[in-house]
Amino acid sequence: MEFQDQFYTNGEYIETASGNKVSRQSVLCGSQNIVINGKTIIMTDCVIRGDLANVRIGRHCVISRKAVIRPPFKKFSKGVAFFPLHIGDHVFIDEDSIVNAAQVGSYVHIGKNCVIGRRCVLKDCCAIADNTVLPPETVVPPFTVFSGSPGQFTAELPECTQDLMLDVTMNYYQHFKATAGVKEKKK
Amino acid sequence: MTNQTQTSQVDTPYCPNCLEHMPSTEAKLKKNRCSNCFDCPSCGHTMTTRATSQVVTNPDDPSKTTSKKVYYLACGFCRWTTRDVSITDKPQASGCWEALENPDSKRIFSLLETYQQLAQREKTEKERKKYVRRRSYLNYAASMDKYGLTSVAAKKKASVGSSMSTLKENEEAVIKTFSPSEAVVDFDPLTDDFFTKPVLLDKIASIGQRLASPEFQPEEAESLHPRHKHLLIRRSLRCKECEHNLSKPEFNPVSIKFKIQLIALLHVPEIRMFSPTELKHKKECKIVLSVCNPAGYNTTVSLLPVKEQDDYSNSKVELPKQEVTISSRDDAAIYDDGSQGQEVFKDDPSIVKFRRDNKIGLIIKVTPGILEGDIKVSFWLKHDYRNTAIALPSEGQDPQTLWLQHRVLLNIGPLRDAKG
Amino acid sequence: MSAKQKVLVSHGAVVCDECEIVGDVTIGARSVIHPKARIIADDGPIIIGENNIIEELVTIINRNPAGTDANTQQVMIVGNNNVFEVGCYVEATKIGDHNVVEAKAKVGRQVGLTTGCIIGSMCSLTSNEILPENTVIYGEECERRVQRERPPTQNLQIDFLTKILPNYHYIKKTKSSTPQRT
Repeated sequence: MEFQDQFYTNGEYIETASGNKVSRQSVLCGSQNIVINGKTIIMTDCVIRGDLANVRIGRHCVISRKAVIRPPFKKFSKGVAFFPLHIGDHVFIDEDSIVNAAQVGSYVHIGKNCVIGRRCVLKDCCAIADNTVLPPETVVPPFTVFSGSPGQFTAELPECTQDLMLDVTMNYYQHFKATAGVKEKKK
Repeated sequence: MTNQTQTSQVDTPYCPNCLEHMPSTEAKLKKNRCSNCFDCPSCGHTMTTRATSQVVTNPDDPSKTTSKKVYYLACGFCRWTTRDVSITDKPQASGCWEALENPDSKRIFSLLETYQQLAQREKTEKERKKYVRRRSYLNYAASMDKYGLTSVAAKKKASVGSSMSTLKENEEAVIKTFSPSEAVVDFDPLTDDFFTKPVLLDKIASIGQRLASPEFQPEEAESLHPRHKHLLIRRSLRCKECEHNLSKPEFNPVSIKFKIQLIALLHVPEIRMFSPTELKHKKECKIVLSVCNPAGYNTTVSLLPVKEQDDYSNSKVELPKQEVTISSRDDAAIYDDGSQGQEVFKDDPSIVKFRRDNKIGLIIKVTPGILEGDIKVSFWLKHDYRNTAIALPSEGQDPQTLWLQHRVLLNIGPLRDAKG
Repeated sequence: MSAKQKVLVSHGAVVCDECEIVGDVTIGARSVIHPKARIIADDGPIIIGENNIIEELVTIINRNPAGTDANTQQVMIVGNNNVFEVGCYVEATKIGDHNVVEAKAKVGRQVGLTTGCIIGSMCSLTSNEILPENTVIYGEECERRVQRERPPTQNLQIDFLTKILPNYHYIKKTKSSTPQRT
């Protein structure tokens, strides 16, 4: 099915110069440390903790409602610090997920209601199924699907994953439109 | 992913945790397990190495104590550690963790050897049969000694003879090492307190935990031991008919690039349903399909009905009769402001709903034939294909144009009313 | 049913202003409460000890289950050195020390956590029991096992958070009334 238009009221989202669409009801702590590269959508009720460490999000990402993006912390011999969190381009994070990863690659799809544990590393072109719990320090290699609790390898992704994720994220952004006045959502 | 038209080949095994690429021969030796990474026997998650410092008496001076760094494995999910099963902490972070030796490994090894010798014997017997026939000719020629084949015949005889002689030795060896396993006839009966003693669930390993290491199948939680992590593979695909390589990934397991990547998405027009529409039983409904042209040249597309037996569709479909041309994909078009020299196509509005860049909306009419369940139709998609990859423009030849046909199975979904 | 609006934040606790605290709540010293946490004392006061970490979207709620007498008041006591990770939901009335409730876990009303218990991610515990010490609940089917030592303390993290959270958030403070001397 082709993407259907999804509308939001004009005042609900702020559109920045680089094309980011950020909901006013999302919580961006420490916004000076949050870098969003462009054409990314951040929907309502998201929490991005830029106050703990730097957060960098790539282009054409979609962060759905109620997702929590939180940098992980690491104990060093000399003390403790929060790691900066890098999210690549064309990443789709579905609703209600908690991302505590150290690094998320590009072209990644994270399902609904997931818990990505501390210091996990998600490489490019992988997918996390809905309701997965990835224990701390899991490494997810490219072209794999992890699911279950603890998250383990369950399926492989096809070679065209990169093109598919490109398509999904770019189309989502194109169909995310503003209406002035009446709140209307068509799916 | 693999179907009747492709074969897949194991390309590169790699460890999913340390992402280390291992050549296939090495992987075979290590039984497809990584040497550095371990799985928790309790939950299956990868174990992490943790360090603590242990206070140890200085060997030179018994009164002083120094702290030494020792390492142990811990699971971040179920909190199982190697200390739980009394495995001592190791002085080095990696390379010290020994795997348990299989108690049956000697027996398995001797059985393997025996059967390998048997296989060898059968192989030489086959070869012997071939030589038996040929030997007569050679002997004949050698006896005539016309062509100086005596020496050749002698050599052949010697080689066959040597294998025959080793064969005799092996036969004896085979008989020696092979002793069939003895069936257990007698074992102790169950003790009475097996039924009365309360089961301590903490101390017993679950079935999943036992089957995870099938050589040992530990019954007590005390006997659980970390296992080496199993490797994953990256495959390369090949066409069954012409043996051409379809997709070949890079060696490095982290890389998402491909050495060869021939995916249908880039060559065949993609058909999608455009929007949800009203579907009523036995009523002709118009459905818009969007057809997207991925190629760099204008493609002509036509939809043809299925003439032969159709097991898939359960409804009638009326397809547009004419061919339609779709403009080429232009990646630079996103940066253009508006229409800049876009080709103008004359479109029949009863067939073409819309036209935008390299997409076109075709109208087909579907009459649902069933009351419940998903409406399914199928048709043939015919389009022209130019293999621009192998075209040689310098020779002035036009690239070959092929007409390809693909069967399309369309699942429209259940009957639905029009939405307000 | 009148709810006493009394929030007592001890000296040294870091309570971000964006969290929702309703009812009679006492928060001990050196506890850190992240923004968007919710502590709701509907049916009785909540007493939170020292050195706890309560992360965002956590709901700690003291509410009687439906059907009980409207006037019963129970005190919810949370001990020291506990960690409540993102998104968990806690209704239990007695929580001891050094426990960890991981992300998206749910602890029901009848459960009692003693010392060193770890409730794994997405596990939902609604039984009527008091968990023995050092129990770990993990996995899809809430399997359990006993660990050897209690989870490590988070003092270093608390120090770090105490330093940087005030830089980005407004902190709730209880005005302490100084006794007047005549």
